Amino acid sequence: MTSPLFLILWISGLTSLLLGSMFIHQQYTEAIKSDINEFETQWRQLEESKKSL
Amino acid sequence: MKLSQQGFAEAPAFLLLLLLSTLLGSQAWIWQKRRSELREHHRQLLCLKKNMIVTSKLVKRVNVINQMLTSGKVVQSIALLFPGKGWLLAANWQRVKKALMVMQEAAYWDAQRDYLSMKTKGCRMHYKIFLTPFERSDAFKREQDSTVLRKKEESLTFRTPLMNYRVKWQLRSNLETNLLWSLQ
Repeated sequence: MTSPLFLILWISGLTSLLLGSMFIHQQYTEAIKSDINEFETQWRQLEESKKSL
Repeated sequence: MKLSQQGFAEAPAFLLLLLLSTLLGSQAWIWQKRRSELREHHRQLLCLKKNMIVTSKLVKRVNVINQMLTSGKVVQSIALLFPGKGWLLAANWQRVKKALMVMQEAAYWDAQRDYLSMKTKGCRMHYKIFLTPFERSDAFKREQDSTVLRKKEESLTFRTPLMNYRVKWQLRSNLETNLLWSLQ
């Protein structure tokens, strides 16, 4: 039998891990989206300079 | 329950938490790696695009002057048939021709400077950069009629962390100003 205190700690630990995982997922998804936007902007600028050749 | 028995019952739970923490750490590491690979992939794609622009610009500048040199030679030949002003025009053509040849060199230098700058910024370019007059480069050669012949085709393999590209361009003649690019 586990003590109630330990059960609470365990559940809160699992919840923190779940939230942590969601946070990591969300942070990196945002970061990658911003990287893609930056890339597309630079690509468009290069396209423009190529057209002006 | 004794303390020792309680610890024994709680050990798997600790192990589970430890495992999940490791999984969380691995997840963060995988995402970080993916992101850096994607960034590098984008950077190399931009390099490829810049490379295409610099090469197209160089060939265009060199070949436009080639066209001028070719037509200038024709004009000179005609001018020689007319003594006086025609001869004067033919004599001046030599000076103009020299200036045009210097302009071709300048175009070449500009492109080499751009290639070098790209290379120092981490672009993976698998060909030589010649910081010398272009006569020493294996890609350029000045012909007897003063025009410059650029190697007529070139293919290079371009690698990014996520993909490999085979890039090829072709030039039909040394008077053509547009390169035909193909990307596989």
